[in-house]
Amino acid sequence: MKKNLIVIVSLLFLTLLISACSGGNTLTVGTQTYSETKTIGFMYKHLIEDNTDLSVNVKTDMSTDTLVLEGMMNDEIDIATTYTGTALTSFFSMKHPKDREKTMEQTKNQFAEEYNIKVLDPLGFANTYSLAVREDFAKKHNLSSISDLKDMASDLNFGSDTSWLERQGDDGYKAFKELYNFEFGETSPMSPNLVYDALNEKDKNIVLAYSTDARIDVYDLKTLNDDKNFFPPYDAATFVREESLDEYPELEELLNKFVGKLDLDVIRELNRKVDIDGKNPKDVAEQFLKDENLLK
Amino acid sequence: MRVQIQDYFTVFYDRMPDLVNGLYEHVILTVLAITLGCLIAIPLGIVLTRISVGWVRSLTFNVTNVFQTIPSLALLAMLAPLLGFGMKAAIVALFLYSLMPILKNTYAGFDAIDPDIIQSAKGMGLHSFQRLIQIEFPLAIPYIMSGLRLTTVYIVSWAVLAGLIGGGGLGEIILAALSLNNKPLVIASSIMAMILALVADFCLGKVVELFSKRSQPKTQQI
Repeated sequence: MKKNLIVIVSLLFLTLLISACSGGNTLTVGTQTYSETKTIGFMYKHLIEDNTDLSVNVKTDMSTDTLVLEGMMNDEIDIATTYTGTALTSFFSMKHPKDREKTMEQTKNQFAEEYNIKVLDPLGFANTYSLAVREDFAKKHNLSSISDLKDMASDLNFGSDTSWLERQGDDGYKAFKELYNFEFGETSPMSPNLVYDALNEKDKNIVLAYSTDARIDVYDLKTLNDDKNFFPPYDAATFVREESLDEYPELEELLNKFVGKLDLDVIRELNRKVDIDGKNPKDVAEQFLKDENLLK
Repeated sequence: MRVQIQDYFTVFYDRMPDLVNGLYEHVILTVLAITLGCLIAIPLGIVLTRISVGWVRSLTFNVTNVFQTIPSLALLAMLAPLLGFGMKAAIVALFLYSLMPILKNTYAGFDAIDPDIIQSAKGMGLHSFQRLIQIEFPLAIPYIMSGLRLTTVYIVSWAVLAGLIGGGGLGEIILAALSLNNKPLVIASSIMAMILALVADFCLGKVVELFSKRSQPKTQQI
């Protein structure tokens, strides 16, 4: 037992030592588990490494947006991509949940004031929630908007990501039930990557989809029109630690090159290359930068 | 979400129905997986001690070992499209994980029986099924039960992953709370899972005691 402890402690020291040595001029990008954050993360890497002497380490598959942001607060992560509403609700409360611009502004102010994190201007796409059904199912039941579900909702089996059902405040399931005045017969939360397959395999009749996901097109899914404007659009933006910006002033200009560059069509296309064609996010990122003439 | 110290206490009160429901589903997942595991692995372990063909034994152990090595997340995600996104796939995955430790311990329990005891049982005129039930099984019980205890504690913690494929349980609450940064709820639901593991371990420990008390006189008689 004692021997084991010594081994573990010395291993820990070794890892610390190694990480301390490599700490020099390295920036760390943190990404979540879903593809667009990874592809964008590698874009940061390629662009920064191409234009500066810095090296960039991309940490992929951090389980939640919250975890990524906490990594930034603990100085372990320098750059990340996340969404205004998601970031806000995890650490503050949203003042204007229905207003895209005001939400962006509040995100910028509060993260700068409280956590020294700079939020750059929107990348150009918003990842919103939407409700998706299979195309044939929509035809059969004549569905085009969310309100059309009202009479049949109690028979529906709904697949959601892990957090939406639990989300309090104005954009969660609780508020949804109040606004649309119905609830689903059965609800089951799961990994957001699996909901499309669950729908495709007819395990679920309706799922909570992310608007940027390419599988909506590829699986022939229909997203229902949000006729009561429930789901607020959350702008994707680059988050950077202000200390890193102070240390490497050239960063901000580089990262600002992405502002407005990535609209919904672009990001869906990039997601399709990764999620459907099985390409590596790193290569997809590099190809995109080449096509946009952003690499030297 | 802003958190105050008292939230860590009030969360138990505020969310009790959800926590109890999560705990209930968690118990179902664990109990069904372990029961299935016992039904398959214990008889299989006994059969393995009876057959003399070496490769069948090593093949069986290797197959169950392989199940053990599949990353739990991958196994769940692979089983879900086949068995449906829900409890069923989660139970099957957990069942596959429970096989190896129960099987190994059952085998070890029977393997460790002193051949002299079996000889004397034969001498007393017991035929093989009687020997199995009256002599060998009681002697192997402590091994089987210790395997079962270990497995149960593991399965309780692995069952959290069921939350990723719509399998319910406390994992569902833990995952939601994690992504919403609701720390009190993360802690509360984790505590429920820990209590479940401890209580299961305690109860199985008591069962072991019970069995060893009952089996002792029998061994002494022989």
